[in-house]
Amino acid sequence: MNLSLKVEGELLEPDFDLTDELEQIAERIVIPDIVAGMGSSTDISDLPYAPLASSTIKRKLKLGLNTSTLIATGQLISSLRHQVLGKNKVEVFLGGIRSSFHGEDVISNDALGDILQNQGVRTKSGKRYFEFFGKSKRSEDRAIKFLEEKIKEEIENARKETIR
Amino acid sequence: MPEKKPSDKEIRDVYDGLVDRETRTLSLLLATKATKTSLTLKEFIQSRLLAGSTLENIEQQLLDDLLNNGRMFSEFRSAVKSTAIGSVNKVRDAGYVSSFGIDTKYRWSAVLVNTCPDCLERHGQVKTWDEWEEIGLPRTGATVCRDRCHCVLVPSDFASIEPIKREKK
Repeated sequence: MNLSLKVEGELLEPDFDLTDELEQIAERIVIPDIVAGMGSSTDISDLPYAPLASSTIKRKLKLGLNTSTLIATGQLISSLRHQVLGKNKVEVFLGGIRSSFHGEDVISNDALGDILQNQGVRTKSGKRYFEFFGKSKRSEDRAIKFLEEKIKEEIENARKETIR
Repeated sequence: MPEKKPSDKEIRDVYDGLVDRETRTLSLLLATKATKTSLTLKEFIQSRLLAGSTLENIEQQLLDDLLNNGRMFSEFRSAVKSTAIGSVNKVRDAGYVSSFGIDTKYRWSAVLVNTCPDCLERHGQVKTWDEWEEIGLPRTGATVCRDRCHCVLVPSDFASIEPIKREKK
């Protein structure tokens, strides 16, 4: 009796191995969502950044850079990566190094992201922060939808197996 | 003969190798609890079928849990939950993070009246905010009491009890 109860308990509330699903969510949902936000100049709360100062836009145009708020050469946006750290543990991060324009000090994309998001960028009117890196409500909803579809897919696969 | 200048890729590879996760400041973790007995979705379905359940019931159970804040997928929902800055959630219930910061350690404090067994186990434990977020913050479905949880995370120094001071009359 005790054994059957114990087994039933484990089946009702299992620990799931969702490593593959988490990796796919990182690759197909979280990273593209951050990229989309950077491309459309909206933060992870879906709020638009304050427009760039006209002097900044002029300088960017003069240097032949992209005039989007967080895109200049495209190095930051293309540095987003993910890696599987272990079972049920996936990390999304900014990888690689870059040199500032005109060959100034080398800086990692992670350090640049930290300046933009956490330390703030000095402007004439004070510090500006750009919350571009994170999981938005949109990516949360899509991740749950993804797992919902995955469950249905596995059920369908099991159904096909039982028919054979 | 002049030395061959390293290529951009070679320089990049060296720096990438030096970038350690601990020095990384921007990092999103999608993480849930992992044990030796963790089952994939496929394995769970197979085990339920062997136990006599039907595919319809299994699908219903899984989807109901996922979409209605059940316990099975509570850690998954925490793992993909929307964040603010970096990996720290803006948790309005606690309200201390903005005042005391993410480097402060927080103690899980239960009411200790009709407290569920999960919260009783957590009561008194001290961890960083990130660690609590990974385990499951109060009212996120990670504990049996789910949304009815009255526990709070308070800065660990905050919860120390002041000794009673008696003054001579």
